[in-house]
Amino acid sequence: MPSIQTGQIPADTVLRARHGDREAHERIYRQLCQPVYTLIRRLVVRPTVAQDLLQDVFVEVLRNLSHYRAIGSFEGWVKSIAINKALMYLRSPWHRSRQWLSADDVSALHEEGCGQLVEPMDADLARALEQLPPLSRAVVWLHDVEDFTHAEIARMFGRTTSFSKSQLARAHEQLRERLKPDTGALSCMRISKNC
Amino acid sequence: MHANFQELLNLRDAAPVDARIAGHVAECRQCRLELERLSALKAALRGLPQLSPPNGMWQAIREDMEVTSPRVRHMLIGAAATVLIGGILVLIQIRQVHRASGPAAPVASADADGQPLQRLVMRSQQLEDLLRRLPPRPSVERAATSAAIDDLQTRIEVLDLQLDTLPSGDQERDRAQRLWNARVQLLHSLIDVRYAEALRDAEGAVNSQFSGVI
Repeated sequence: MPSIQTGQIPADTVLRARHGDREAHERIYRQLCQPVYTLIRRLVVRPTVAQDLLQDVFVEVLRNLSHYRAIGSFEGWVKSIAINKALMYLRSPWHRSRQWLSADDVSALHEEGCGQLVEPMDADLARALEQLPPLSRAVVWLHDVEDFTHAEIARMFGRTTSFSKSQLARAHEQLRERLKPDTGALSCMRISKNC
Repeated sequence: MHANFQELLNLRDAAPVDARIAGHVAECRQCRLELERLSALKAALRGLPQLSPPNGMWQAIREDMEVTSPRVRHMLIGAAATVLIGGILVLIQIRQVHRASGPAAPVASADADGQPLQRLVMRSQQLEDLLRRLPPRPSVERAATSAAIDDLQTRIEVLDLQLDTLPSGDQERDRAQRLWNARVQLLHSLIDVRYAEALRDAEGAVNSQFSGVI
């Protein structure tokens, strides 16, 4: 199901938060932090970056509550801010320049995955997803999980619908390769500090 | 001929597909299995568990909000303006010196091939001097930046340890040169990250003051 469901935040909480009620701010955070973090993590993978982006998203949401016009759902508005932040990060030169740290981050991911109670099948799939190129991963997640259409994804990336369709097909092709039983991703049996 | 991935995905998502392709998939066991696999994979992706952010995130967000709240903003305007102007001037100066001393990548290629050891040591000292002149790290820091800075500092400490324990003598000269060269590169990277952080911090403060004034 999509990471962020609508109807989680009552309208009066949003109203109180707009007037600066700190309890309402915290309630919004507590209700939405997990789905927003999940969405960001699936797009950018690196936990430390996802935490930064999560912080940025909530600071922007809570600071700009007066800009929320209640035309769409509040959760949808938060989701669009989270996706924008994540895609901006993926497009940024900062993201590309940090590639040299990838080895450290990947080991951290494996340890984190093993530390949690995750079904082996889920762990394999999550790892296969993480190993996709950033654009393909973003497209497959936005289309297959978040229910965005190819036209919407194309707009987000400033590209054509053919781009979105070909990225999705390529992503599925790579996922199939990575999840093949004989050559597939390792299940959570990796030797690490936390396992 | 079997359906390709894009056609199968269109079928899975009930998007328009050529009738001949749809007809083939209906009759071809291999294509049907692939289509079922794609549907199952979509279901599995949607069923992946949610991830939790670390504890303490709300505290960090609250502090970030606090720093930029209108009340605190107005209190800080006068004091921060002076500090900011001074800080930005220092940053500009540091950037100029840093650029003049050369970026990290060319240093790697030029120095690795036998630039005198003494010059590497001097460059290292100049860069450390630049680092000291950068503004202090902000109290609320981005996790990724903090991790990158910590990582670079740790690597420099490891190099320092190796340099401290390196026996003197001509036979170790090459090794010393390699270590000092690596140290210079790491210091360049560290200055880049610290500089970007300081600039972002200064810009954030300027933006919040600017919106407060408006």
